Amino acid sequence: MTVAGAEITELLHEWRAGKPAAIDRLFDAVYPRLRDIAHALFRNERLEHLLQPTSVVNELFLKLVRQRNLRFEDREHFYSLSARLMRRVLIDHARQHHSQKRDGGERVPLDENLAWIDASDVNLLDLDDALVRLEQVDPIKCRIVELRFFLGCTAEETAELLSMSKASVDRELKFVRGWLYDQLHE
Amino acid sequence: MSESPDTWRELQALFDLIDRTPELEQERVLESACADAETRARLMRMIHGANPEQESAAAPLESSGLPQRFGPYQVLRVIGSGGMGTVYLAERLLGGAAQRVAVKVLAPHAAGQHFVARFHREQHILAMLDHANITRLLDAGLSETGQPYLVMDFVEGVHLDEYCDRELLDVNARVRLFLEVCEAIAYAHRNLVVHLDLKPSNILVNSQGSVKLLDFGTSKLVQPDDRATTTIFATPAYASPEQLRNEPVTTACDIYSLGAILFYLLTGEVEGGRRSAAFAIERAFKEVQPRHLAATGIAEATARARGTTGPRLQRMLGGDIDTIVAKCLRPHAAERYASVDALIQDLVRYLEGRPILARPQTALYLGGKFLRRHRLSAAITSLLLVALLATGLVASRHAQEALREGRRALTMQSFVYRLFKLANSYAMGKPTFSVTEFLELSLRLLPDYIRDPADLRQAQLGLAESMYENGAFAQARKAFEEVATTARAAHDTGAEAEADAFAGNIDYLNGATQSGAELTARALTLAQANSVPASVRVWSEIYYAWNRENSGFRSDENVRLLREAVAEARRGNLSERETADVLYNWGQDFALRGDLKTASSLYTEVLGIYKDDPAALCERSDVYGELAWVVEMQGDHAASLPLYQKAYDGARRCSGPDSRGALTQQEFLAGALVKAGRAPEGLAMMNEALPKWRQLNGTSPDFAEPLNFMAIAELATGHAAEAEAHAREMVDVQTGRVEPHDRRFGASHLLWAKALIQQGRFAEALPHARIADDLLAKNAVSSGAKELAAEAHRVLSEVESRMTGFALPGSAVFR
Repeated sequence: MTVAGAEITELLHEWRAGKPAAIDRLFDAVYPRLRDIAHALFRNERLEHLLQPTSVVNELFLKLVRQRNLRFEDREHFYSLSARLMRRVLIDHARQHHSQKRDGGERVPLDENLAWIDASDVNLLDLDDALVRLEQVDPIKCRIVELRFFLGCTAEETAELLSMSKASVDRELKFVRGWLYDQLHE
Repeated sequence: MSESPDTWRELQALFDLIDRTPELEQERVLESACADAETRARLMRMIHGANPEQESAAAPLESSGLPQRFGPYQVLRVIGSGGMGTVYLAERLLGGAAQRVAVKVLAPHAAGQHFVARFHREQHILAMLDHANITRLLDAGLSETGQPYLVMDFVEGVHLDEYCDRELLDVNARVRLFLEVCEAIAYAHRNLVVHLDLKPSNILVNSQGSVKLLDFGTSKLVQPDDRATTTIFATPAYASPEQLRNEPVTTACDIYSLGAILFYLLTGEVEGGRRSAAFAIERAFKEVQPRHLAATGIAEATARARGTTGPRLQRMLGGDIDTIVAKCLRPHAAERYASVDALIQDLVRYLEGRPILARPQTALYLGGKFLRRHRLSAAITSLLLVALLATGLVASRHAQEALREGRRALTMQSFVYRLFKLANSYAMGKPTFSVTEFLELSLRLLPDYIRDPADLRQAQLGLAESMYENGAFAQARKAFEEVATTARAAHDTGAEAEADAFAGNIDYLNGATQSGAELTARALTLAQANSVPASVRVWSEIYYAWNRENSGFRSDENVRLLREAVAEARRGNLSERETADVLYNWGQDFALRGDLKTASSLYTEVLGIYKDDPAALCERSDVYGELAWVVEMQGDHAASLPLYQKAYDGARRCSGPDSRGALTQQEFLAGALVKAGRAPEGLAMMNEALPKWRQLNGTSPDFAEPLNFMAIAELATGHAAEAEAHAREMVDVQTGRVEPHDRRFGASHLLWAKALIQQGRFAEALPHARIADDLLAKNAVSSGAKELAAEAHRVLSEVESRMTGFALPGSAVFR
């Protein structure tokens, strides 16, 4: 079932107002198309080649702009949503792969901004599980990881979106980096 | 393991503590701060994991080993890797000699499925790119493991930006080197190849100090998979907004990237700041205007690398070069330089210290201009033609169907009778008043009177072309499309070509460049058939070539086509009048390309053909207007004056004294009169024109233009109070509709300041003079704009010197 275009704004508002159910319907609204793109990009692909967030973000922008729903005042939410979508696209892909060939799943793609996670032996699904735990105890940190790690925002941009100083973002990231390392190397 | 809120806070506090502690002290400090051994061990693991330099940053490439070969190319080493793939140095044995090449391996998603096939299809185009500053694309293929690769000339060199900094090149030397890049791009554009991923790292400078462009032609080969329509391959920092928005690409994309590169070479900063792809895309949707070069806050180190000091560099980057770069970086492609050639021209002029060329063309003037073909000066002429056709008079090739004289007259009479009767009735919902409505009505009636389908199409084309001449593009477009459809079914190649050519031209006019290009190209192909009349062939060539020229696809092929059209017209295959129209359009192309001399001699030739022909009234007025501008641009104000006068007189008689066309010519004439020292006459003209303008579009920001001419004339004749009121009105009609830093505001405030000065109200003039000086200095491109900037500066100095001795609080100017 697809969600009507005009509904997307409403869902965004609900999500912002803290109604977690909204996010699933939002994904239903924008996700099928994004999943298509992701599959196309991953097809025949070697693991070190990664899905660029550009295509997902672009698609999202286009969708919202065409429906005249894009309000740039909602930037933080828009970016947070994009980052969450990116995470979901990647995890879904990994999960699918994982079920096909049970050999340890997908490696985390390496990106300039992602270098801080020792990706070579980390399983993306494990990372996702760790992030679920992180969100429960400290949602802001989880959001920082999603923006930086999955959407590729710079530290400055992340700070701007979350109304923090860059130094704070750096400090938070350093902690999360250590925490994730500990979680994933247990 | 889940964390509890309390231990979480403690964990973070301890982490921060240890992180601030020198490494050797860490264990000791931790022991005294935390009693729990397990937590201590965990924290030490976290500290270890948080510092990436302790991790081996093994590149995935090395872990999988260096590939041995790609096809016949033996891999030597990795040169670099980027977003689209990895580049290797490789060699191939060719007749005993080793040829060194660069092999670029692409991600499969970047290459798409039909990569190799595409390479073979595009090969001849890429092989044509033979230029000293362009590295050749030699080969392409799939490796044994199915990876697509491209083979290019191997160039040893450093990136353009690194080279500039290493050699401490100053601003002018950087611009000179950049010009080499532009020349190469211009060459490629002439050969219909766009680059689409221009950036400093795609431009190398070799040991001889000349530039080499990499990756030309890659854009043609690299196509995303069908389903991944939104994948972006350009580097966000240098990509044009339309690329980031995933819209159709043109040469204007490369012009944007060139501007971004020059911005970086001059300031050491990326135009939009270092940002992620996501932020870059947002910016593309917001259509942000470019930053000023000097607004980047030049660092001393940046200035030193350019052999100068910070403040000096700041000043250098505030002038013309800023305007040039900004013109490349406009969010709307139509506002950028129309071609790389135009950019080159301005850069050369900048280096030579000459005024930059940029046509001070008004929106109104541009809006009223379109390519035309043998305009029928009155719609009634075309109606008569239709009536004649309807009676079979013109359709002599269907002689056996021709009717006897009496029948013919009767049919014609009844057609015209019914037409007028319907026009005056409510058949169309209301009585028909406009020419266009009249033409539409005729179009509806035609099939009842013309039985022969070929004749019918000719008559329909005649009516549709009249609609086009009357500016009824939507109706004309629809009519052309219908003709094209029936013509195609009937294999009436001539009519199909003619209809396609016009429909395509209308699409261009409406900004639908892509379908415009497709339709005019099809017309061009169809028109090569022998059965097609010379006139249709000539206009197909002109519509195709001129529109491509005008939308930035300048090429030698266009010039060849235009020349061919002119030659065919001159061979006497077209009527004299039509030949004149062909020459006129050819002249416009020369003017477009900056060859004012040739343009002016062509216009003169056209006027010679029109002579005193009363039917050529409108055309003659247009040509005089063009000629006047060209002559003025060549610096001859006195000679331009009578030409403007003729343009105005003609426009009045052609489309009426209150028409927009006549009013536009009138304000140009008034401006020219003031410049020539005949201000009272200019003022009288504007006094007559202004109320008409006000009625026509008194609330549009375009109304600022006649107000501008008005205020200038008033100032020149000492009517300062009136000039002040009109300058104020200029600001009013622009406020909120024109960007605050637009130079049009500068011009308005300059007039305002001058009006106040003339009344001795210096203190009031000061803020306006400041705004004018500020806005006009920043954006002076054309020689006219430069004059205006200099004038603003003079005015400001004058006010300041008059004000000396007055103490205004908070004003830095009055120390």
